[in-house]
Amino acid sequence: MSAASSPFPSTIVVGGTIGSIVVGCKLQVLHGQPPEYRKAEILSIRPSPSADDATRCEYYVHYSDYNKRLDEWVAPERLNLLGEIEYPKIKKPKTVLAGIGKETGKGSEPGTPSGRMSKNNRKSNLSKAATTGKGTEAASSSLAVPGTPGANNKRKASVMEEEGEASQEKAEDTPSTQTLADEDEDEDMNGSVALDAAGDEEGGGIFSKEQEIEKLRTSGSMTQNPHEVARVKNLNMIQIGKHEVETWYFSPYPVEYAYLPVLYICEFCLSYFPAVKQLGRHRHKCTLQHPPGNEIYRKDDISFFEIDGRKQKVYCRNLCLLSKLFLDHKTLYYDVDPFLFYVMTMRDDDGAHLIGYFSKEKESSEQYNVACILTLPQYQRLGFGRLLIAFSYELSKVEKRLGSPEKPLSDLGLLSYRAFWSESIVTLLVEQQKAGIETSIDDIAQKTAFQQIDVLHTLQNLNALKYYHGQYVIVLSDTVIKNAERSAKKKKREVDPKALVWKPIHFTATQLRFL
Amino acid sequence: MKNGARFRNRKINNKQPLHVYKAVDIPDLDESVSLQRSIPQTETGVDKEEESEHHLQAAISASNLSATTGEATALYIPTPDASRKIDNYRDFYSRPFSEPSTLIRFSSTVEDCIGCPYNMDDDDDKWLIDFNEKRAAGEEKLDEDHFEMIMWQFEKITNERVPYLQLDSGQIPLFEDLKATFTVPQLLAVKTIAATVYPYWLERRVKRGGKFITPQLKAKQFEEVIRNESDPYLCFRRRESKPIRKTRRTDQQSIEKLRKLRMEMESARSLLEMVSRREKVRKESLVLEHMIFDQRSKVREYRRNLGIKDDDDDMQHQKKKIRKIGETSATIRIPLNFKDRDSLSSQDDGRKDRNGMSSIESELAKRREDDVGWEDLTDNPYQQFPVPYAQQCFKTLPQQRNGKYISFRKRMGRGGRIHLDRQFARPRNSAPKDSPHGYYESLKDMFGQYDGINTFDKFRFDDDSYDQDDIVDDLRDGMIRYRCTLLSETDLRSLSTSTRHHFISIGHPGHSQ
Ligand SMILES: [Zn+2]
Repeated sequence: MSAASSPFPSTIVVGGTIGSIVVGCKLQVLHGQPPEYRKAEILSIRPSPSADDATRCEYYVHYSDYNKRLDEWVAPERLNLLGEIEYPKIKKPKTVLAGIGKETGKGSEPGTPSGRMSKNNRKSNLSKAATTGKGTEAASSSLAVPGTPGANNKRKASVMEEEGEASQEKAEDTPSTQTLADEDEDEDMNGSVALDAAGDEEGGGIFSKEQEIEKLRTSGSMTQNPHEVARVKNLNMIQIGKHEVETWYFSPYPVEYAYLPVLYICEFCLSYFPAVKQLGRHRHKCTLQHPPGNEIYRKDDISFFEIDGRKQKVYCRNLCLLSKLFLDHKTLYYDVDPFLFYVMTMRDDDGAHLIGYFSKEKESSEQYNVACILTLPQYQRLGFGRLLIAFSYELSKVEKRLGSPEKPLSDLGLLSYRAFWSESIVTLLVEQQKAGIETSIDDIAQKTAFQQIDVLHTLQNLNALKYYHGQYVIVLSDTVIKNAERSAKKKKREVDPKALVWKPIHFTATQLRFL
Repeated sequence: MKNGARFRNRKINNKQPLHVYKAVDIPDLDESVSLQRSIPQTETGVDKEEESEHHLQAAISASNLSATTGEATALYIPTPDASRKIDNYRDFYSRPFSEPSTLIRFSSTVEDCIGCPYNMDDDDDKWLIDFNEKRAAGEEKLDEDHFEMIMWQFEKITNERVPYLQLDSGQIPLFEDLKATFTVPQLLAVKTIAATVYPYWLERRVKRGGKFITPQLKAKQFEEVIRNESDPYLCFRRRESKPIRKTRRTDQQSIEKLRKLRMEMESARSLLEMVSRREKVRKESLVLEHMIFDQRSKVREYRRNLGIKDDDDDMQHQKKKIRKIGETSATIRIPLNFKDRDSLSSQDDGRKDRNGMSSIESELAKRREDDVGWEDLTDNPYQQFPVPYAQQCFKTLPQQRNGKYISFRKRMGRGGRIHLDRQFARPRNSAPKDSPHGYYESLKDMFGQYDGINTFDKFRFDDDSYDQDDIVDDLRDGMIRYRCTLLSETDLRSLSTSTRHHFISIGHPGHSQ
């Protein structure tokens, strides 16, 4: 199969047991409606939260060549254990494992293999943390998860042996492992986890090399790397307003809230709560009924609010955390100060409900007029995305600048932008054609505020650029014109430039420097 | 024919007006020609590895299909479910909203609008119910709002006093410390009851390892920043006063800028190093000269004391040299400016430098004075000038086959460049001093310009402006004055022909050599 595509040479085995599945394995997994097998990679393994059987696990899978938003936890039944299973080659333990284990604080993440602590072990950690005050996340996590049996571990080991790594096996029963786990009498205890826990508390100085290797081997290659933590989404579902929305990607909400079944979000201030009780208490006090900024556009029930990241730090951070759940490429690395947020709301008797937003750099070095753009999933496919995009270009028109969204675009972003660009450009070209006016790419850019490259991109997608009688011309095919007419008839929400009351804010160099 | 590679111009000029046609209006459109002329596809802007995802590809080809065949199949990329709604919305959102007729202007922050930031959870709820049940009949019950107020006060004050409590949980404030902060009326009312809440709060806070009971974003906790930059939970970092957001292109640009800056700094450093080396050498030479001067004056004193009257011609000569060196070493400039250069190089040709002229004049005057009473029998009353230092540095290669001598010198230029100056010169001694030509030879040394190639080559690298044509005005005052002093009045009278003619005619033989 595609073993060669992996950076590490991998071993392919036909058929295996559920216990032999480790993080990094690639195999066929049942997916979709109707269900079909798709090749998928195991990104994480955790004990089934609901199962009575303590040995039962869930597997977090990424389907190859499908967007990460379809990654999911699946039951073992969905794995095709009779087919080919591609094992990852174990990386050489050159990294300083103790350090990494400490940094990720992964004892707290029940979703990662290292989080598979026995109850005993966890309790001992808890008391230890409470008394010493060295609060690791492990101590505070509200999700205690039953341990995984060592049998599982043993089977893993047998697979590794086939790969000629037998020398590493010794570690599992070395006396030092047992002394580290001295307080723990649970025979099912997973040795490597005890190491993790001890390492978290006392630092990594006491590891032998074998133990390090063992730890690496049993915890799987993927979860070791802190970057890989972000590959597994940490929330399943949010409740915002009246909607329950499944999340798509990882978002750095407080680590204590990771893997909660539902995170409750106040739809006006976007504060987040792990429990209904807290949401209720918050709603009792929260007086916000619209985004905390200035309304710069109102047409029918749609409004836009302009919010300065510097002045509304909490709101903008909350907004970013929320949108990160649905935007894979968004980065929350830096703070929100250098951005303005344009929040689109729909009004009813309860308030102005957040539908979507886009952020925009106060000063873009590369002529971007949009940094991130999102329609909340519950409002998608209703034409709101188009409205957001149109609004971003209306702002650019006022600024008398050309703009383009920051790259990379998401798949959904690309489709939305493409649809908007072609619709706008075709409408314009049909007029030009009727009037018999020649038009240049610059002309189109000036009229639409699209950057020339996007105009060109769109003309190419419309297959409209032709070479005729020794020069380039724009040719509108019958179908393109028909499509345009058809979509023009559809009743759609449009941005009304007259409803926009806005002047670009100019920031001084000093203001920008201190962002 | 397939790839239109032979058409090099595959860009459309953005300014070029393009005619817009309906496809039906130009049935003679040759698609194959357009295909040849097709412009390279612009990038989609989607990450390369995601571009190939099945759903995106399917959606793109569906939209392409609809553009070409009119097949209207709206194809969506499937996304996780977002369709479910809760049925107890009213439990949480019950405040009616009345919109103002004008656009909303709003500057309060979230913190201003959410009341007490502490929100009690299920544990608190349980504790509070339990607590109230245990209260005696007459005692005042604690309601949720006040409970939260107390908890928040504890949290807030603790965080203000010991912001890094999680690093040292032994520093948790005592109730006595916290009680003192219950000063506003609302808090004063619950001051006594707060004492019973404190142990509960303390327990929760300790359980949290000293952190806030309500989990916070990993935004500014300094400990994490130091420990792990790549922690995915770490977000909203402060920017280090950098106004431009990081993108790949700006990164590239700043790297380039930094590289350039570094190079410039390095060259500036080496330049300064060389200057300091030069100045050290100069200082050394000054010290040495000073010593020489001291020694000389001693010698002179001894001579005077001992009554030795010697021709101190050598002394004179040395003295002059000292003065000259002193002159140049007094200027500490980077870079050496034109004036310095000129004063060095024009010592010999007497073009610009007044000092040079006057020193020659005084030299000659002295000579004439010395010669009083003597009859000059030589053809050459002029004493040759000392060869300038720069000139002394030339080393001569063995005679070439064509009879010419090539001399060269190594010279350190600005920025540490090494120059090799060549000189295709007739060696000085080719015309013996005592030959009849000797006189003219020495003239040529001075007025090198007259025989073109020779001295032009000699000094061409000494001057920054050697690109310019050297124009020599031999009727300049200085020249004439000098010529006048060369010969006495009677001599001049005997030379009835024009001096100019004389010089030119002599200059030519130099060429032909
Ligand atoms: Zn709220």
